[in-house]
Amino acid sequence: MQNHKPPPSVVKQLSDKELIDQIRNSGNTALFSELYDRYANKVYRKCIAMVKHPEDAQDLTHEILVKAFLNLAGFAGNASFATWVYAITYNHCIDFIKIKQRLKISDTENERLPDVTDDSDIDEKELFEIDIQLLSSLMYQLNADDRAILLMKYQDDMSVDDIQQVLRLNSSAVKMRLKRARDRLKILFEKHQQHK
Amino acid sequence: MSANNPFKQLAATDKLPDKHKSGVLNTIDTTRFIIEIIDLFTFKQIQTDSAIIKTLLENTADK
Repeated sequence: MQNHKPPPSVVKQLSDKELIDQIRNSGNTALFSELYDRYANKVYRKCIAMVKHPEDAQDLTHEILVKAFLNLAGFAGNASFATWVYAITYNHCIDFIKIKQRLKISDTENERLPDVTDDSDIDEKELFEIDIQLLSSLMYQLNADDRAILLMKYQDDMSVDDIQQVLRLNSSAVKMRLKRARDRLKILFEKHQQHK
Repeated sequence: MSANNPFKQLAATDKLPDKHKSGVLNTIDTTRFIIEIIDLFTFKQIQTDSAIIKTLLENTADK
């Protein structure tokens, strides 16, 4: 196995795809270090947004990065590397939370659902007016699925198609889940305002 | 999408401790090493054994 590290200036200029190709073709594990520098903190922030506790988030980031780096052969290159890593991140965090809470997962939402009318613009306007500290606290009161789908949509700007692939749901189910997540967040916000 | 999207600022400044990186890279190195050892004593071992048996059989047939 080759482990000759190219000069840092050269490595820094490589795109994600070029970097991954080099790792796959040469088995040069020293290049993982650059990939870590590019994505570790981004993955960590998503984990914190999902699980709240920094220690859990650090452990999850460790597991996610090891899983992603050891499975680079599975990265087809259809989506960006960021989308691929975030897909692993959200699914890993959702699994972690569900195992921890021992919640039963309902797959009924993936069945045929009626098309949801897209009134997202109206909902978004209200959500975007929530103060950042309050939003952070309200997000932790949502369930893992709601939290993940809202982060995918509004933090990562993922399209419905991308979310479909990450969560392995059909388009109607994604739109329905997004709407429900927005509604639940809105209800939590309104409750908070009433108690103020 | 609104420029004042508060979702973008969630956990925006949190950083991993420095020691985290060495932990991840060590786990990757260890796992790859274990995979190579397993590969050596399974798939490559079978390949080597097959080659030895084939050579022995060929030598026996020649005699």
